[in-house]
Amino acid sequence: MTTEVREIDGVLTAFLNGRLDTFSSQQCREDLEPLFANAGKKLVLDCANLEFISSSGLRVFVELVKKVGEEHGELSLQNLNDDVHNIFVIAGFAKRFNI
Amino acid sequence: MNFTPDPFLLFKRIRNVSLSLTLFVLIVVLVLFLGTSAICLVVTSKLSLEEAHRTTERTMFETRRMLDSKFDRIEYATRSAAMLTDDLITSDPKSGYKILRHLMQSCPDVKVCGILFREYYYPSMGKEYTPEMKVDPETGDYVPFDASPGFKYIDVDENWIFSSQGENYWSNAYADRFHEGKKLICFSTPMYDRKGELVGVLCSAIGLDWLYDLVESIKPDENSHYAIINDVDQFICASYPGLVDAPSAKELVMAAEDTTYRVLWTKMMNGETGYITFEDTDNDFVQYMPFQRCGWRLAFSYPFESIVARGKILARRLAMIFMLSFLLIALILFAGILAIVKPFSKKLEKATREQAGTESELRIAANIQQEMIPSVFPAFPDHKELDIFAVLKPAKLVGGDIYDFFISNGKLFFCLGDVSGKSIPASIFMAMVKSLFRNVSHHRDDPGQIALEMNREIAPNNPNCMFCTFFVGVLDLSTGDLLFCNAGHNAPAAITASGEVKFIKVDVDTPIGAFEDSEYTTQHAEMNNRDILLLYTDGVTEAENDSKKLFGEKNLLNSLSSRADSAHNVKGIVEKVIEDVHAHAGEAEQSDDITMLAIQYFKINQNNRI
Repeated sequence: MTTEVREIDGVLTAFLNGRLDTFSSQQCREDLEPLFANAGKKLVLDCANLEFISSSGLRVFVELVKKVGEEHGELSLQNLNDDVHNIFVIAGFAKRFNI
Repeated sequence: MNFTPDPFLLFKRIRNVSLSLTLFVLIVVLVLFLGTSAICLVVTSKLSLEEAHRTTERTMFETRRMLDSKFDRIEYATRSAAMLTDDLITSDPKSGYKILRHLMQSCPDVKVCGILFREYYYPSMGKEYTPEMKVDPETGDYVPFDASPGFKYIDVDENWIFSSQGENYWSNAYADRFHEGKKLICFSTPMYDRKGELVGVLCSAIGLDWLYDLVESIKPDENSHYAIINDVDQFICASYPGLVDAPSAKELVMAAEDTTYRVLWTKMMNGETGYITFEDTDNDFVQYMPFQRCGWRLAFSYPFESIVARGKILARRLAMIFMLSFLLIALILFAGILAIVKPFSKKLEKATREQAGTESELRIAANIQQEMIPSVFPAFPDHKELDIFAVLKPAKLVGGDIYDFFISNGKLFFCLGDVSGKSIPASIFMAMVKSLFRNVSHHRDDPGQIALEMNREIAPNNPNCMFCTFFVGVLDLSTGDLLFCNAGHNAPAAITASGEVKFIKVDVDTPIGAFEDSEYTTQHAEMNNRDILLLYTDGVTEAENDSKKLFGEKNLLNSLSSRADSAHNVKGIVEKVIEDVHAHAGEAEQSDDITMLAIQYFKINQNNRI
């Protein structure tokens, strides 16, 4: 699992790569620190290469979306594959995120 | 609880490891040393044997050199004296003593000397005249005497026969009547006058006693034996007393049991050089060599015992060195390992105590967690309208899955959830969820309301954003009406009385704890007679095998179908799913908690109730 954060056209974008599970969620949380620090801005999570997300991984997303909500920023999830999208739907998070 | 942690176990193991390591090194050293010693002994005994052969050979060459030197002196003195013939031999028959005195003076080795005059050289002295001279053993004076009476030498005496023909000749050994009967050998050379005519034969005899002193002083080993025989099989000299008096060596070797003596004798008589080993007896070897000057054959034995003794000395020294080295290595190793281990042992002991403590506490926590959920089945023996069965198998000691149920006012309240994350944090969150479920559902019977209140309790004080996917249901036991709320959990499966197996279509709300402002909806379904509702966590559908393949929803439905017959019951169905999940996972480690809750409803006509 790797997480790369880049600024594209003034939008802070994180590219998630691999399996976001219990073992990698802690690292991912640390890697996403730039997004947490700029929660009041426009943020993008690019999930094109995200293969899987576990409940621990969802927790990181929840934490981020709550922070963004508090600071009136804007977070969108892009390019989710069907499996990952399905996890969001099953877990009842689909309507909480801008997918 | 049977678990009694031994805080010293690890420490003991480490000490055992040090001890094993020490023993291992010592055994390796022992093997190496024994191997080296064996090689040393083999090489040394080989070298010792070669050295023994060389020493013996050197001894024989030295013997020959010393014999040569002695014989040279005698030959030189005798031949020099013979050259004085013309000057000293007069018509006086006693004039011969002048030469003899001269000879003895010039060569003290000569014990007896004499002149064998030619036939009728002094007509007055008869046909054969032999003036001789010897040394008085007491005074050391030269004693002249006439040996002629009874001594016939013409055509008889070997010295006469060869030297009268002009040869220098060394005789065989003989016992001389004027030399206390002891054995002598005699060198002879012809004497000529100025006309070149033979005057007689000058003889110098020496005893053989000096040979013993010579050989004894240079023999290769103090236990060596030796023998010198000549070409007519006489013993000249032998280390065995009495052997020299034997008439012939051949008689002795023929009488000997060990045939090696015969081989040795034959080779010696042939004038060969070499050695022979007495394998029948004690591996002694005998080295032999000729001394051609007077037809002698030298033989020296070398006792094998002496070679072995050298090996034994080496072995004793090696053993001593080994013992000392071994003790030293053992001490150094022991001290070294103690020094290395000691600083760690205290830390290890502490760490081991702590680890044992933590593990013990974790087990206690696991027990508490297991006690928190109802686990006695059948759970409600008095409620014929209901059968319920559940399992919770944590992947680690403690887990984040939860189920619970109870009956209140004719309604079954039940829930099943999965906390995000694993182990201790998840287990604490799970305990909170379970406790809240009981609290809230005591005054609420609407699942949506229960979920809402639980979320309002948890979400505001949840900095880590932990959450719990949660299914909560309330079943009216008299009607079969089922109200439920699904907070982000998997859709439950249903097995109808007719054997149909399916997932129930449900709306999904947000998991409990994630967002403060989440809203929860109550949904409705109806359970008919003998319908089964199965709630499960993703530990079931996401159980992986070694090749990371998931058990999956399709397999779950298949498992359920295989038990969806007329006799289906909650326990049988849950156990079947567990069995199939285990069969799928094989040797793969269980990665997530596996939890299932199955509820079967039996519709009982109110009128028939007692």
